[in-house]
Amino acid sequence: MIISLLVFLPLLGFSLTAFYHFSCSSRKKEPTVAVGGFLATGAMVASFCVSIVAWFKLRSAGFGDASIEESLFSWMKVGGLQVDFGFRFDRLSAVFTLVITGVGSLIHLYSIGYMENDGSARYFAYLNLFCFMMLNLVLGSSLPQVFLGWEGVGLASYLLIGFWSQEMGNVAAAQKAFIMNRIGDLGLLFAMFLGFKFAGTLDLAQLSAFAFRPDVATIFGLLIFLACTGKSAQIPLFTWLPDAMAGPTPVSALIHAATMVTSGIYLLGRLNPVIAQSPVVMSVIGAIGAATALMAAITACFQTDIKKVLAYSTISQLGFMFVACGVGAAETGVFHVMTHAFFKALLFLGAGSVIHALSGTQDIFKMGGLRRVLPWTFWTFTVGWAAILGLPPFSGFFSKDGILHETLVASHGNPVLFGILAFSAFLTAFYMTRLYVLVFTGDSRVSEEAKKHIHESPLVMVIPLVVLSIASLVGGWFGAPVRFEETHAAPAHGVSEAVIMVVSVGLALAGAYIAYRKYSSNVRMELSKDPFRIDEFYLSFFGNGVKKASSMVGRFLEDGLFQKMLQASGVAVDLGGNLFKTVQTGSAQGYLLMMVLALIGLVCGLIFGVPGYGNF
Amino acid sequence: MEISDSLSFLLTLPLFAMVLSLFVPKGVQRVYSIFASLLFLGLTIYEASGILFASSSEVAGRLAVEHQLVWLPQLGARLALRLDSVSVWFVVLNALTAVIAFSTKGIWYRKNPKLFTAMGFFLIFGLNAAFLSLDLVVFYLAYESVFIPMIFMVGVWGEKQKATAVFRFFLMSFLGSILMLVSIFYLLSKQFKTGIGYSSYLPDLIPTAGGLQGTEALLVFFGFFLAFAIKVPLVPFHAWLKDVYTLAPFPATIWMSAILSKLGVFGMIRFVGPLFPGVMLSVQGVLLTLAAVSVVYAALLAYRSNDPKSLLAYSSISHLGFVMLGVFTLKQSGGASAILLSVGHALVSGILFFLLSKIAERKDGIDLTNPQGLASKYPILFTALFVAVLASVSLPGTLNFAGEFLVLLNAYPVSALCTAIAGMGAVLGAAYMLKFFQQMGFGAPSPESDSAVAKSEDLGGYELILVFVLLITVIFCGFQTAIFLKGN
Repeated sequence: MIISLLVFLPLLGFSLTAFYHFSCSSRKKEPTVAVGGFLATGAMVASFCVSIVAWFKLRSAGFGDASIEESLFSWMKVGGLQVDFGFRFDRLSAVFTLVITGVGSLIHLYSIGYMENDGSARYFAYLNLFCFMMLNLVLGSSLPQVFLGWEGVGLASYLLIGFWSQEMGNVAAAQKAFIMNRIGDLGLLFAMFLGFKFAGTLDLAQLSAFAFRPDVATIFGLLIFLACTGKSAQIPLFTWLPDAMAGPTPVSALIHAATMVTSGIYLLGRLNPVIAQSPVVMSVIGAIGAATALMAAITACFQTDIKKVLAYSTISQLGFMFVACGVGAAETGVFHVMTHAFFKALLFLGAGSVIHALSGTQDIFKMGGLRRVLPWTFWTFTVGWAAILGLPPFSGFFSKDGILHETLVASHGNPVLFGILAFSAFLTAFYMTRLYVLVFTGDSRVSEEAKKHIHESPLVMVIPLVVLSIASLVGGWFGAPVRFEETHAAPAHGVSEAVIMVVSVGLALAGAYIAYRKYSSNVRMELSKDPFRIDEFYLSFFGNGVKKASSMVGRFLEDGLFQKMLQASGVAVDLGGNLFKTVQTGSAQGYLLMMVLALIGLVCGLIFGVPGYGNF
Repeated sequence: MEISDSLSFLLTLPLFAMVLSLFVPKGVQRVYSIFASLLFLGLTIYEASGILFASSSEVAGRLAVEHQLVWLPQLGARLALRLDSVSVWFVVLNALTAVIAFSTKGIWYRKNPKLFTAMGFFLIFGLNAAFLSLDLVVFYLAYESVFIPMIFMVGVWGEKQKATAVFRFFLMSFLGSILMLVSIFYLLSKQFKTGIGYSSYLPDLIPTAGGLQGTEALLVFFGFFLAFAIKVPLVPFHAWLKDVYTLAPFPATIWMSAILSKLGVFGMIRFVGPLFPGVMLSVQGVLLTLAAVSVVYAALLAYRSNDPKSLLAYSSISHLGFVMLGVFTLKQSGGASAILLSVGHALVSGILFFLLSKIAERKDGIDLTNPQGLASKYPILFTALFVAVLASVSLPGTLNFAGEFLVLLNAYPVSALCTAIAGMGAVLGAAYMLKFFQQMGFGAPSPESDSAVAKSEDLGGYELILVFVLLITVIFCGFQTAIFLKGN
């Protein structure tokens, strides 16, 4: 029951924290962050410890195809469908579990410091709920259970993005995230229907082993991928993620960088055998991933909000991972999930530390020179910066380089994808260095008001930064943590890894150099821009479209037709009714009496009438 | 003897409670009706527990109870009552809905409370008679009798302009049921011609209905179908609903959305399905389309509503569209899923309207055009409301998810297109329910709401326990679906 234990510990933490919150508020006491944070963080650390034990248990079973399975109860059983609620812990799940509980614990700890002034126990309850759902997502043994986690993390994300709910802007961002994800979720829902119709099961192991008809496999794969574009913010369902930065920064780090947004990669990895059956699906995944990587990297260069830069950067990096899945190297994608979780969480938490120090300032053009006042933040952020640029020997180098290499050698790879990703990597170096230089070096552009309160973050925030920077450094040294057997095709092109390495490091340095030249001195203010304006397009096209449809249906069909018809029939009967009004009260009781009398008459007629009465 | 007792108490006890309520002082009518309905719920569950928790449909079938009493020999009408794995859910829901409805507070307990309580118990009686009856004439009478308390409730305690609403409600429902009566009599006369004599007992009528051909069968079917389609309601037979739901007092709205709508669902499953399997199959495409269109059409209307009560009213139509989609799959698994979803919908819409009544007690004239910021003021009330909203958008882990998921899963092989249309309702559902919750709960609390709520506190005491138990039931049953599905 070790897997169940690690999944349910966060739920226990959630319950305790929620109970504490309500017991305080019913006694009119303010629930403190310290107690809530302690309960929630304790639950996560415990869960992480259990995860490590489970990992060793799995290792002693020899990895490979080994897995720990636990079935708790029968969830749904009808019409040939049999869904058990249970967990399956294999190597792929194990990697995600360790990232979720490990990075999750650190971010819980960090939050105790970060949310000190405007948080409450409620915040920690939501964080715990998120981790519980996320663990269901990666450990669930059947697709419905994955779906439980899938929508559950969406719920937690909604609650946390809109955490400061007095501001309707935050609420709107939360709602957008929830609804865009719901659109994607339809993909998963219909993939389940299709899967059940053809394979007769929704168990993940059986489903991924099932040989679908080629056309069915294609549609199945596309539906699954639709779900992934929602959760993992890919084209066309990515516009919620930049808005999601309205939530507290540790939330952005945990949910919108390290864990939830990588669910799509998990799902593709999990269903890899089915996905890989269809070349069409593979090409679509590769193309969408590359387009997203490029689009988001370009947009990131035009952002001025520190969190928005990182948000677009996340979208772009997720694009890299999808390309890996699309070319048939899902294991490299998973490798990048892991390293990205370390360095992007680090970058976000670093950004949080900066925002915390500057009393809420997020504009990178109102920062500068923070290297001296925030030494811990600066050094740890430097590690994150080097990792995302892909400089050796930092972790990002190994995974990003791996993806670039795979675009040329993997079974579905092609040089165009390589070109796009290489250029995106160049842009990544540019925008990250732009951010780095503007925030930490040069002269201070911090407002006088913010300068008065500037301070390095407390220890509870610094410890997670240090731990994550160590992970960002060494995280890539041991290679990809998962292997998928069937994807090992013979290299198509004889491109050596050394060449790729030189190219990618060269591009990173070039991007960094250009950004450094442009932003290290004589900084000119820039305004945030969205060069693609996809968000505006969606709003005017779909957002207003639904509103229009709703009001058209309401005006013309409902009010104009159905209600009119009802009124018309009412008028007709009213004329007759007026006659009765003179003898009856005219009220509801009057009509009622008529009805009862009529009924009695009818029944009496039937009873006492001749048998032939019924011959109409 | 024991068998007949167990069934007849489901009918006699509400009548007894109705009579007793006339002797209870006005001031304690609410306490009395809550207590009596809770007791009745407990007894109902106790009596039904055998079938309710049976491990499989075979076991439940063996435990099914039937009791017959010849009543109108000329018509062949008899009091045939049957408690089986279909009716048991509706009977339990009936008792449960009564608890929720009686637990509201308002003018109905101040103005003429004895009439209200008496009508409430009469409604329970009428509904149970309808759900238990296996005889068409008795069913029809019970079905009609349910109007009496409803019209009283809307008429006496409803909002202004209620007269028109009541009238339309009556008009449309009556149109449907009169056609059903015609259909019943037509079947009876057909049966008489075959020389068996009259018997309106359902199993006796099935062969007669099966003997109908072509247009004849279609017309007779339509008489039944229309009555139930109006009751549910399915688009385009829904026009009466909005005004009635909005103008009715909260307990009546709870009764209508939670259980009266299920009368239509029940009728389709219990009578229309067995009587007209052939017709149903031949018009299945139309039926599925109606159900799917209902889902999306009502969701669009809900999205447009700025009155929370009418938003919930339309959302009710939308969700019942899913239920009907399940029924119209014409598969046993689809029907079982539809019943499961019916239970979920009854519970959740009951809770939603109940909580809305609690909000209305605290703030007059809630409008969804501007954020009200009430959540920070009533954290417990709004936490409960949020969980209910999540169940309503069928988030996995709730009973409503299991219901919607299984309905769609069963509908998909029958019609992928209708399933896809209905699926869009899930996205729209999230949009309007979030609007519903956010506009009431979030935003900065306005100064006006500060003054208006001086009188009231957060949800607590009995009401909190009730809501808590109901919500836990929704979640618990969401994982323990076996008791509903029984391996069908």
